[in-house]
Amino acid sequence: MKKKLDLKILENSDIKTIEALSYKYRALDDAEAEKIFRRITNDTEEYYEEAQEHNVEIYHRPIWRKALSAAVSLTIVAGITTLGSLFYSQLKKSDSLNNTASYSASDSLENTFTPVAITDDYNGDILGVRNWHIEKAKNNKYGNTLSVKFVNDDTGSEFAYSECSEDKPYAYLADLDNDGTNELICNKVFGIFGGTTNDHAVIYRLRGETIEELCLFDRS
Amino acid sequence: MKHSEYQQLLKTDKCKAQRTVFDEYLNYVYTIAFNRLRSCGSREDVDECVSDIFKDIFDSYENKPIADNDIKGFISTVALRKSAAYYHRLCRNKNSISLDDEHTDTFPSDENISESAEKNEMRRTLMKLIESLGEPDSTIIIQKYYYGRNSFEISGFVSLTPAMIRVRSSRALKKLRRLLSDNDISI
Repeated sequence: MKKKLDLKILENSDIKTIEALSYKYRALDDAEAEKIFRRITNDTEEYYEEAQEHNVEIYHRPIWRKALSAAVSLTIVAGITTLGSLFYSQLKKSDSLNNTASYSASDSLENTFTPVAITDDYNGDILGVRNWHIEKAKNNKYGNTLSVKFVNDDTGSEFAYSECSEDKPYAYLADLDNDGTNELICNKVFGIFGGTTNDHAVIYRLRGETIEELCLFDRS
Repeated sequence: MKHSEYQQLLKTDKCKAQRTVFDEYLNYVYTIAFNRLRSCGSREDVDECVSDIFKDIFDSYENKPIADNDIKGFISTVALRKSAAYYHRLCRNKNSISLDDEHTDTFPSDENISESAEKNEMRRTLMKLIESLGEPDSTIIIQKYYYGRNSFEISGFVSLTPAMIRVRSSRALKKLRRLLSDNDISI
């Protein structure tokens, strides 16, 4: 193999050779000459910008690195997608469980509303009162209606009052607020309440040892 | 250009005076600097050296009275000295020894006068052989094997495409090798 030609011998030449070289051959082109002149006239900033551009080394990334980077990127994206979808499905599942739970809770709440009709046959507790009796009176003014008083046998006092048709239950027991104790729901057909008649009910509830009375009516 | 002419121009238009000197002597100064720094400096070092040479020249002509009217002689002196300074700065640890060294006096000089004379003769012969290749081959050979330029850069000096330059360069090199062999020159 032939050795590559190198005109190193022309280095450090005597002035005659240098003059011959400079006389016969251009050492640099116009752009390079302009660059040096700008540098001389203190336009150094522009010179360095050009010098940096001129000296930019083009870096070729190896193909295997590109492939590896792409594979790693894809793996990360796939991982994020999988985890995201997994998390989303878990979230959906827990949501559906919550919904089922809430439905069953509401179902159970509905069940508590199944009222217990108080008739002559009923002999259980009413609002925590074990010994009680009913005092009925027929209301002549409205015909076929009864005024019903619930009386505590131990104290002798009336603790609830209801009005009803003769062939209907006197009142109903139901755990409306789901607190484990039945409330007493009574009808009021005679009195004027909220501006109209025959449209309201009275609910008696037990709070501690006190029986409270709540009036409900339909404004519509 | 003479010093007096430059001084005259400097009085009317400083920028134009500097530009005239620069355009006239850039190739000469660059050749001197490159010739000295070819092995130890980069192209940027040569550029820096050349700009420093011109700065020194402009500064000297502006601030100091120059007795000699030979502007070329002054420029070559400044260029040679500045290039030598750059060479020693860039190759400090390669070929220099300290003057404080006790063995400095006994240290033999590298300069061999007869060898140097032979080399100079060989250089002139080489230059003639390269010149005998004719244009643009001689320019291609010098730009490629002396200035180290690639085909694309050389296309700025001769009106040929880079591909054509590569073809001509190969042919010119073969021819030059044959000429060197005929003249018993081995490089």
